[in-house]
Amino acid sequence: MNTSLIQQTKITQALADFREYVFSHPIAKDTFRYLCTSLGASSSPQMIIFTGPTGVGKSTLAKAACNRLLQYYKDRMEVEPDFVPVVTVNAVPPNGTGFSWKDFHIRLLSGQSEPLVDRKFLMPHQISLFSGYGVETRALDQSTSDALRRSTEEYLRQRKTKFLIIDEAQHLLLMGGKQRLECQFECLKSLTIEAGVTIVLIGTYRLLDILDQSGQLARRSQVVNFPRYDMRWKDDRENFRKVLKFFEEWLSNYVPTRLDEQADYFYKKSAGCVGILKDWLVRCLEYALQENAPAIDSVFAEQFAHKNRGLVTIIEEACVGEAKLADVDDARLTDLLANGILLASADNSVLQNQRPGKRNPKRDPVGEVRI
Amino acid sequence: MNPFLDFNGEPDFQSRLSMPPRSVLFSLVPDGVGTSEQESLLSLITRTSRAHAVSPRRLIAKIFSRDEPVISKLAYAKFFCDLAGTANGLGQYAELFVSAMERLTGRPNLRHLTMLSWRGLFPRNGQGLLARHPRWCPMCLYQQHVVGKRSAVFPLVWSLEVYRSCSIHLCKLEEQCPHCGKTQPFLPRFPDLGICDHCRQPLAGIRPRYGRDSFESWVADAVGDMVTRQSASNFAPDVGHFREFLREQIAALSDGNRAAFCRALGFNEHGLNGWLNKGERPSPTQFLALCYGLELMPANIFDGAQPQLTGTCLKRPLGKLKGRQAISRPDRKRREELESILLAKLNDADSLPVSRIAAELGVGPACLRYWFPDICAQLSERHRSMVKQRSTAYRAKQCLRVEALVLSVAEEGRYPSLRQVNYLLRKEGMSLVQPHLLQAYRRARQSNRL
Repeated sequence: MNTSLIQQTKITQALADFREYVFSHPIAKDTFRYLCTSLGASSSPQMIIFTGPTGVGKSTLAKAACNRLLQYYKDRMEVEPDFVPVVTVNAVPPNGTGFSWKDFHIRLLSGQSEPLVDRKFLMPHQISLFSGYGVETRALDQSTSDALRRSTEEYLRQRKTKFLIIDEAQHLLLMGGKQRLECQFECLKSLTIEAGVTIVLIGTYRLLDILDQSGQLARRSQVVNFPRYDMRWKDDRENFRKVLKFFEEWLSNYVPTRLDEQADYFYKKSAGCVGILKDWLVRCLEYALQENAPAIDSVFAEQFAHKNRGLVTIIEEACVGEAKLADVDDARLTDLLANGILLASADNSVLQNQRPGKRNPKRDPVGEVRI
Repeated sequence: MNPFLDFNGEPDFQSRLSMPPRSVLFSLVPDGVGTSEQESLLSLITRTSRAHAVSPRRLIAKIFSRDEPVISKLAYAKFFCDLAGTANGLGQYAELFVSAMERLTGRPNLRHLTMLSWRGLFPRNGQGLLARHPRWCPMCLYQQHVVGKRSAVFPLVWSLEVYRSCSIHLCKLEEQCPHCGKTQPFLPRFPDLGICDHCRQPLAGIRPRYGRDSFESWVADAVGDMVTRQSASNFAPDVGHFREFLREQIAALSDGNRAAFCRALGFNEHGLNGWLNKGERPSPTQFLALCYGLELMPANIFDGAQPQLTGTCLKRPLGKLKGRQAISRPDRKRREELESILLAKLNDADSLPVSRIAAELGVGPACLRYWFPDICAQLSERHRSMVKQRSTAYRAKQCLRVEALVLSVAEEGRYPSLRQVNYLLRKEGMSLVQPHLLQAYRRARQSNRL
């Protein structure tokens, strides 16, 4: 066998091992416990919003939670061959102007190996017994959007699904216009009611817009935040160093590695997100193994780091999200309950609509009427 | 204690569990199991199709056939309309669909939704067992709609020919749509048996017809009892046990006199010979008539304990369960006449089939085959070989015509292409799609070097 081929196989294996290993660092453990608490509560909310900065490891943690659920329901799955406790699907961003529910339902059903996804009838919920009101005589089996939605609801009902996990859920909100955004929220709400499942939305802090837009969804939701390591807190600084130490030990099995000495640098260039740090180190390891680099340190890793411009965007989004998560104080709540909100009067609204110097829209008389 | 937090020590992020294989179809619970209203297999298949929002026919053609390739040969219109009813019976199709459905849904013991449990007793061809068209009680369908069932449920008893009126509502079962008057297919296009497959109107609740006699009432109860008891795990009726039981009854009730036993029941005097001496199996109609005469529920014969008879004498059934009229048995003189005619037919140039000869003589083909099995076998063989000869001669004639056409086109100075020759053949009702004509065309071109 060719030496380079053996070498390449070893590199691939090393990268795969490192990539697949899920490091249970302190924030991940705490978040996982909180997520499991939300999932397992007997009065579990209808929607769980699992959010955090990009690259922090949300999808990875969600997979671990999914594994936990499968382990928990293992015995029941053996007894009931049609029972599917967890359904996972990715919300794919739209090609055109807005998110496509039809595409979403097709991906969900196809991913679950539902038969004949392209041949669904739109089944009536109720059939009338009055003659002349029979079933639509040309009931087409062409998988319209409504037919697919009902099929999804029926699938989740029949399979007694407990949790529907939607990853990259911020793509659901890619709609033009406020009214259409409200429709998205209503669709999600009706899915939880009709199918009787708890929906877990995994995505960026943009998902928190749901709570601001819809009181109904806010009532039914719980937020699980997976934060990044914040160097302003002493515990986070210490835990981040532990993370670096762990990665240093792991990578040293392949290439001499020095990360802890430049902990501030690695924190800065990963924005405190373990996911971003790990992906960066994977790139470093691959290049180091291919080029037989002497060591992995801050100088070596610099060539594979994200640009500062990108990191600024990530950190700004994280800060905005963290601000959204901050609660309003009790005083505001008390004031609202005591005094309500000030609504504009009807007379004022007419005046407010008029700008100075702008005429009312009114047709002027033209010509004369001769009798 | 939160059940998902019940793991020792640290959470295990490294475990990679995958979902074990799940059933392809939803595993709906069959309705009324263990009761006389037990659902039939075709009804369960239709309800499962509705849950998946697909046509039952498409489900069979695409999904069932993937699991059981033999089913792909059954995916045609005539089977769905007229023949699929046998899936509720006790033959090979019942066996096929039960095993496929069990694998696809992961639900065991679906054979109780068919008459397979009675396979050891009734004739293998299901003679006299199943109705020719789906039937329903309009009041039962109406009631199902009122209680909020999303899709109609057809009990297994409605599939049986002898069950003619509903035990609950005492009205006659219908087999034609009250709106358009058409019979329904066994497997509809639209996944709801309660909707007419032609006009898409509901079949429920309209103008039920009442009126049944005590015999029909007893038969309905007996059939319901058969369906109820067949779900028991140790219930296995077999013809050997039945014969033993029959012999005991003849000995006990008529001192071993079979003819007297038969007369008391209203059977032909030699009616039991086939069952007891010739290894034949009782048809469902005759079996029920026997049980009525003995005042015994059918399943009681096979449930292990010695059946307790309620009467000391036999009861004659009040009516006939078979729809058709009995054919008179030919006497010896008539049999001799028939035999001589059949022997003459053996030497005829015509070679007619047995069914045609029987129609000419005013008897049924089964009668001729029963009394003259060897002569009928010879006549059938003769007819088959004549049909084969005729077919071979016709094909040869067609092949000659193809060759002649190829030559004539070539003689006109044109190239005898496939399209050209096919065009000319279609005017004469033939086509090169037929393999033997295509071969003849190729031979003609090869031999004439075209």
